[in-house]
Amino acid sequence: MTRYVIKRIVQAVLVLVAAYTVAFLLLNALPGNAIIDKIRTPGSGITPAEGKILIAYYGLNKPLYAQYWTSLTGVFHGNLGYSIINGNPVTTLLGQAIPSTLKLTGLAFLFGLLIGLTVAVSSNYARFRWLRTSVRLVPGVFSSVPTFIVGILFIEFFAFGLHLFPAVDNGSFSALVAPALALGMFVSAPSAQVLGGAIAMTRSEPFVHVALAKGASEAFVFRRDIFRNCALPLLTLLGLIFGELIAGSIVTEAVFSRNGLGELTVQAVTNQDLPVVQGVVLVAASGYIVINLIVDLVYPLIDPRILIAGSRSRRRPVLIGGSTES
Amino acid sequence: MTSQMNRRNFLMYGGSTGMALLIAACGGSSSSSSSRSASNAAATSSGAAGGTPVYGGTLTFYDPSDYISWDMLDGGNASIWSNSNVSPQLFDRLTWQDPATGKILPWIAKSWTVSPDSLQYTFEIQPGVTFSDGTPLDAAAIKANYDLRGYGDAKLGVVQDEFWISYAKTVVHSPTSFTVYLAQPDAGWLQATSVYRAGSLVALSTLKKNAAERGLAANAIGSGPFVYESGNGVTGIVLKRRDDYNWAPPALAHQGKAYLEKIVYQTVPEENVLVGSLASGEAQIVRGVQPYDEATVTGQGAALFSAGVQGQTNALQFSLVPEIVQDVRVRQALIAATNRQEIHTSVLSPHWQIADGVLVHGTPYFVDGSSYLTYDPAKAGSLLEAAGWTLGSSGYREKGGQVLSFPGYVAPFYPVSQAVFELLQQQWKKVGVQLVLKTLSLTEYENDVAAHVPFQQGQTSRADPDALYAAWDSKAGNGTYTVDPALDKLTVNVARQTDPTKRQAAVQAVSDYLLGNAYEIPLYDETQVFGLSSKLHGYRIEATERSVLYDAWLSA
Repeated sequence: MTRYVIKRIVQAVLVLVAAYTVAFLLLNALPGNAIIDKIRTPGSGITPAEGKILIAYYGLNKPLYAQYWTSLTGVFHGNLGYSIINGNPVTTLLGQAIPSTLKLTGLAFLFGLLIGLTVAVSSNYARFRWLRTSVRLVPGVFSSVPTFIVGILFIEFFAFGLHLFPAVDNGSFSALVAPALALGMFVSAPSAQVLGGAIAMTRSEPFVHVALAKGASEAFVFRRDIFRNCALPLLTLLGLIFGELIAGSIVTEAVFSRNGLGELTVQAVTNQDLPVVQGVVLVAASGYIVINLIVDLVYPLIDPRILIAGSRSRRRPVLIGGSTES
Repeated sequence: MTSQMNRRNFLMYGGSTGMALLIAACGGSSSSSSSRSASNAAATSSGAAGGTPVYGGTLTFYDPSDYISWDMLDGGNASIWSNSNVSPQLFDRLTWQDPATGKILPWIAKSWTVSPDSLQYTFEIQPGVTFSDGTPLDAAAIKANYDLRGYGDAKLGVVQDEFWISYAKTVVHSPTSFTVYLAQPDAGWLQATSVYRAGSLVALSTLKKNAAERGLAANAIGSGPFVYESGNGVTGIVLKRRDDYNWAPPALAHQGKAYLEKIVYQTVPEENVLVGSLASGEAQIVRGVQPYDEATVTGQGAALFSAGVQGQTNALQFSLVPEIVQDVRVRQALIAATNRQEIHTSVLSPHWQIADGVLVHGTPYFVDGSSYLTYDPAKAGSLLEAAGWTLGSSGYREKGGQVLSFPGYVAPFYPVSQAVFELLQQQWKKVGVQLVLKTLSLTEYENDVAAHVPFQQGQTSRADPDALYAAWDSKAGNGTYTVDPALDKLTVNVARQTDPTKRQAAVQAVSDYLLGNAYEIPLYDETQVFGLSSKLHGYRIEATERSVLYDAWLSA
């Protein structure tokens, strides 16, 4: 097990360096950057001679490999450079943005899971057929209404109307609830669909019929057998949900004026603030790697039939609809 | 039976609760329709009535843009709207320019004399002024500030400020007196000492730092009535009052410390939230109310405040490099084909003013150029015919197989630009001119728009006609992308003439030349519209419509 984890960590470092390098090359292949844009802005009053001074000051006249080496060695020392637009160290900007986004996506994920679970359970176990049918419509509705519309409606009714929470993020928990709910509603749809389907499929399995016939209650059967079988497809979906959360957080952060990774990325890309964009690439790659690692480590806990590659048994690992990592 | 009863009750109670919530939510904000708006170009403050000023309180100011570097030595950074509505609270300047009259009045400088050749300015400054870090704001500190602006410093990444090109040196006589020497007469130099982007006085400890550190909000150390308290300086910044402040411009309404105890600035990118926050009371000032949102703001009991941003009018400025615009008749035809009135009524609002020339109304030495700007589609047509452009089968004019077509680059930094270009497209089509809109991102725009583009939308703001020199002189902004010696002579004259009558004539000459030769098509007066809560009093702006919150106070 330790060998496996170490191997994964080494792989992770290589992936991060590769991501950083590719991003560096691509970004520097694009025309312009924050400094050149600043010089060229009409009305900046910077003459071409003065422009050269600025370019030299920021080291942009050095050959590309020299710039690459400086920034890469900086990364290994924990220095990700400084934002050209606002002078803040990139680590500071990321350090402020990541916790905010993690709080938002964490709570949104929880809400999404709760809503998804509620919908999935209700669509299978609710007493009335009209309730079961109408609940099955919910995922479709939630995933087709854009997050920003939901967000703006929340703000209009609950913030400006009922003053239940501040419309603009002020760091308090109440400011977190509405954006997390808006985002959670959006990501609840795939989990609701998958869970609902998995529950329905498992319920029709023969062993469930046997348990019920033996006198077990529906709740008992659900707890013991069905839930575990559904957790696996949900885990598989985790990667998709993670992606949706990150994508959705960009819009949600803009609508609710939250200082998060999404806003940071949008601003950095708009202004071609390359050091910040590189920092975001590193964070995104790291996030992807960590999630994948967690998912791969958790799989065997849920389904003992799955084995980690390199373990003592010589059988090839059997992964059910999961990550392609082997 | 029981389940049916439960279902009916559920629907009844659930439905009525839902309706109640809906009604409460919709009617939540105050619907008083008192709408005060100060759209007069000469208006510089609002909310004067309201009783005795009250000390204390926290003002919340929402801005649609992020804040960038706080380095006041960088003119481009310092002039961005978001930052420049904060910096007047943090930094003082040598002189104060009256926004209504344009006159330069005392501030940190108590008095000054100008030598007969206009090359030496000797200042006496107030004693006892300090930066918020305790260091003195004396003649030596001012010299350090001005030397950096006048010479630049490659090692610190500072370039010479474009307002300071005539600067030669500063000589300190005593802690409270010094003389500035100019290399040539510069009629606008004294005004530059009053401008937030060129004249803000920064603490010496900050001046020594490198560019990245100068950009941090915590290092924005000035002598102003407020100081940095907290915030990342990117999505927001919180200022707190400096209680020992005692050197406000004599022209302002009070002296001593400011009324407000705290100012909270925050970036709010979403327009609906910006406008709604004013009505709900979450914010007392919002910047950048668009024409289509104005009715919402006033309908909800808040006030609109707008003033023309002094300097150049927002105009389409021609590059003389592309062949298609080198014929003056084509350019004049485009002016005649542009209906400024229609732009004003369709796209803008009464809080904006129609452009009447190359300068915004209220700019010192303003000249009226409206006689050059009459809307006359028939005249446009005949000018184009005379230039050889005849109506073709496509509906547009053609000459030698080429269609009279222009690319219209929508400027990403003017929110109304898209709507204005769309209207121009319709207006110009009536005289057979094709305008093809190009909507690019900010970085694409700055990379693509250059000398080969027939015209671009732009303006330079400055409460001094030197804005014309900065925009058009071939050694400065070089608006035509070519060298026009006749224009250079006229613009240099505007910059050099220190005698007011002669300067007025010089500005008139530049205006006549620019409009007579159709070097630009004025569209509208550059304007910024603020939304103000009815609880806010004593709000004022300085000469280029940046917020000054020193006299501002909040009623309960």
